[in-house]
Amino acid sequence: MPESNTIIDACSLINFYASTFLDSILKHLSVNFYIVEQVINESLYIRRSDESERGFDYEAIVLESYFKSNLLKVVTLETDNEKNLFINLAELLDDGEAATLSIAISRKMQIITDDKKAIQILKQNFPTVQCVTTLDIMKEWSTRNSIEIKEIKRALHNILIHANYLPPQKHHLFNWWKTIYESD
Amino acid sequence: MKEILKLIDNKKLGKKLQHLRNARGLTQQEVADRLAIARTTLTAIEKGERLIRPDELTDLSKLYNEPVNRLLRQDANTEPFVVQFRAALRDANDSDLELAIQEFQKLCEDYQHLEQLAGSPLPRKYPPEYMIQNLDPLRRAEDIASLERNRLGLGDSVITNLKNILENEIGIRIFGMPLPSKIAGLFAFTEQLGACVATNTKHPRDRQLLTSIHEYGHFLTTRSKADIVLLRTNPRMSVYERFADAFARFFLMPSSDLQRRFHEIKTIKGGNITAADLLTLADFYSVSFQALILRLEELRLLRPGTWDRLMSEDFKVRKAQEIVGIKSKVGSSQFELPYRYQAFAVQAYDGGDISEGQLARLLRTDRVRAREIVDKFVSRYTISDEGEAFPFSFASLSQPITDVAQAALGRE
Repeated sequence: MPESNTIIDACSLINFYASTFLDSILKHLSVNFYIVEQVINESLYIRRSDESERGFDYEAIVLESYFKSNLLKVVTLETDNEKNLFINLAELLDDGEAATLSIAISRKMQIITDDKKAIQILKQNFPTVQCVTTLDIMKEWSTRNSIEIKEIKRALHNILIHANYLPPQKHHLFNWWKTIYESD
Repeated sequence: MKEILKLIDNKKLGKKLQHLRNARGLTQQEVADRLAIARTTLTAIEKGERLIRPDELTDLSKLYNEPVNRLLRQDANTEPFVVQFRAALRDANDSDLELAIQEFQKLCEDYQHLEQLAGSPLPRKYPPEYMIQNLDPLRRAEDIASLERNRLGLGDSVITNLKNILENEIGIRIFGMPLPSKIAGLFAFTEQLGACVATNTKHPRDRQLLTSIHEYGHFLTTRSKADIVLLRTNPRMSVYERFADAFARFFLMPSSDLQRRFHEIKTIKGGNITAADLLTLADFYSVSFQALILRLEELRLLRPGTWDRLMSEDFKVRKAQEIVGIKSKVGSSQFELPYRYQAFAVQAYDGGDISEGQLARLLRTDRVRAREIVDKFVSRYTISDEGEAFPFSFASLSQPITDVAQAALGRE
């Protein structure tokens, strides 16, 4: 399922980072992972732990080590076609999302996003673009690497706690997620 | 996909770009040089006479630090707030204030954009402007405070949710936002956006409340003029500012109600009112201890000079509040957006009208905190018999967000 070149949108990147298995995900899927510079410029945070009396604590997402090790590469809009696509998409989406989609469309990359509006735009206008979600990747990563159920559960739990991400009930992997989450 | 640059109103976009350039104090030549285009090309773009190219728009977005998504939004043409505040800005010579005023305008425009997405404009129920010229501002402030309280059906009761009252009953947009420390609040008015107020979230909550009502008083008398409330009162204050200050005191602490409560406490305490009683009374009215003491002095319920005496005796208000058990009302550097604004943003996100990135930008926060705000409106957690939070509630998930938001807003 993962294509050789895959671009990650901010909403899914936060989830992978929150899982605490980002390193393993980037290393063990035999895929080149990219993000756009607009996503790096966004202030991305995850929650530290469960809510205390003072509320949640947050920490900034730091990606430098992934860039250094080339596990994650930064891409920018280059051609006129990409810049034109970006402008047309930026009318509908935030700049980071628009840039991510533009590059995925233009360079025929697979895109990882959980954003409802972004997915809708791709389905309507660019149905050939391969689009997957956080759960697709988590499942693929766990299957390919024979990850133990308790580890997958830990990753999904971390995503829920640290990124506050709960898959929608309509998600095609919701039952997979629920089964893992409810497992002992 | 439609070619947006061929479809949008170039004049509007050009004007937006011109405002952004002016706000950053850049000349056309400077911007043209940075983009490596002729100055005449930039002039034509700003006039809407030449179609902007995608790379030019992207470069200008970076230069002005304004997302392309926002540049392409077809908001109603609004005169920049900074023009209204020009005189004050000239006096203050404060670039942070200018940036804060721009952010204030963006908040107001974002609010209107969300209302457009929801198809629900903010109803304006503006009372006519009151005349105060050639009249005693203090006496007029007391009269108008009483008239407004009655008009809003508040009587003499203590105000618990002022922001909601001003927004829902009058149609004034009120935001909490970090402002330069010496600024307590801002007021601006345009035909498109209506009356808009910003209070400084860095200041204590009681100060913010007083500022909101000060600006409300300003709205009642001189709504076409922008206003900046400074933290320290200026001895050369205009009659309008003196009116607005007094109006805030009278509106929050109506004479009859305050006198009654003061005498009740005095009777219960056998004639001896303590600082602890007054701290509790100030907390009851959600005003600062200083505001209450000065108001009691004004009503001759305390001797004139009481506040000054307390200060000269080194009375520590915060410490005294701690002893009495009154929670600190310190400010923060966060934005405080109207409940209705947040509800519309969540509704738009849940309906797929805006993306998560747009949601976070509209809520002036990061994505994870934006997800938390979504949770506030669409509860996704159930509590098991053991008290454990379990992360889905099928009942609430199946309930349309529109219903949730409408219910939260108290509508049918």
